[in-house]
Amino acid sequence: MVEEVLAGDGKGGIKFVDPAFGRFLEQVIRASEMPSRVILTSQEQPPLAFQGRYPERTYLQRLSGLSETEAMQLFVEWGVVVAADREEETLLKRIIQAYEGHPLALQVIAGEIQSDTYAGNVQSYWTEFEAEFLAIEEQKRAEEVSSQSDRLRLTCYRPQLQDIVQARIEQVFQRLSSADPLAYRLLLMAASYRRAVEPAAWHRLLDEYPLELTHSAFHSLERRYLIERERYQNLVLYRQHSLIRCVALQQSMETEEEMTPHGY
Amino acid sequence: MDINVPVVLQQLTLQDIPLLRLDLKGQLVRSIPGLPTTDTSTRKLSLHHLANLKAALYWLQDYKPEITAPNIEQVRGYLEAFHHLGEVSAWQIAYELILTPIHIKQPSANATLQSTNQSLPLYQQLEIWGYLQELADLYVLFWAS
Repeated sequence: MVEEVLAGDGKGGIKFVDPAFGRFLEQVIRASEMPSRVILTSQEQPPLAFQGRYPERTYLQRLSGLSETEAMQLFVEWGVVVAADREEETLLKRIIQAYEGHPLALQVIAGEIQSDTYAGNVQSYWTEFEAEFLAIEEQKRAEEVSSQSDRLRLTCYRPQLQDIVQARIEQVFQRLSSADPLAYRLLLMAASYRRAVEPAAWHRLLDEYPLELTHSAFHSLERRYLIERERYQNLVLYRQHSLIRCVALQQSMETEEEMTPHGY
Repeated sequence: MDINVPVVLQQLTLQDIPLLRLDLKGQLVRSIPGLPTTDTSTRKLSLHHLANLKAALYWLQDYKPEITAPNIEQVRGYLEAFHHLGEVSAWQIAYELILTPIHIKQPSANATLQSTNQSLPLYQQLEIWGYLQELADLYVLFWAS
């Protein structure tokens, strides 16, 4: 988890929070002998000048998004149905293309399509965000023209996608805050947990509210695919995707506590 | 007259939570109910503070590890609560947590050498078990404060 010691450099790149880490890791990848069997992982490529020259010491795995077929299957699993409607299917495929099959983006979109506002109707969801989807498509076309020879790009996400996905998540948050304020409050508060926890730990965060409202807020987040479920031994635990948690933490720090519970 | 009372976390009740504020040093204090909240020596909690406080209460009061869980899971509640208290700069309470006596029944071939009634402060127990990373995390949080 090298990300722990990486930070943005303010110019769109990344740097080590302490240059000593950089110097240390440079020496590790250039060492002629390495009896150690430690493996360091990172979702970001650490800013090390020599790593390309020492392939036996570093390995880069680029992750591509889901294929169109895979993403369509997932939409079915998430409950988005486009039965016998060619037009809706085409729109869904354009959304998959726009987000390059990014599973988290598609997951929160599936949750939104099924929210009360759109009631599972892909067409009305598309209509609402058409301008945004068209802008992403346009931006992608422009980039494809300028980087056609860069074959690597075809197998990985564009760097800008992270921003686009984050913007999408922020929008989902914004709409949740007006559609279901208590679920939004729970989403922000639960970001404080560092590990997956049982539902009781989520409910505790809203313990000044009646239990049925707390349950309904939790299920609202679950329905919108804003929380992830995982099994640990015989327990079912819940946590947030790292990107969702990051946005939620940021917003919870900016939100002043309301002492009087609202909504009931 | 000091209208703010330092907080003892283990004794907090649900009714106390709306009264909690942060003083200028970032420590949690409880204001006196009924008094106007124009007091400039304290400020309201952010949602982030409130969430960490409740998360700490969950780990201290509600979390029940499985009896068969490994040692580290038996004290997980303290470690997580410590982290959340650090997030709200409640260092005095956090400090008391790492001194909590931990009583663990240890199976031993020689019962006279290792008493089953032995209890040690959390930080020492972590060291004996060899959970040095967890111990280091506690110290780093203090150091960062």
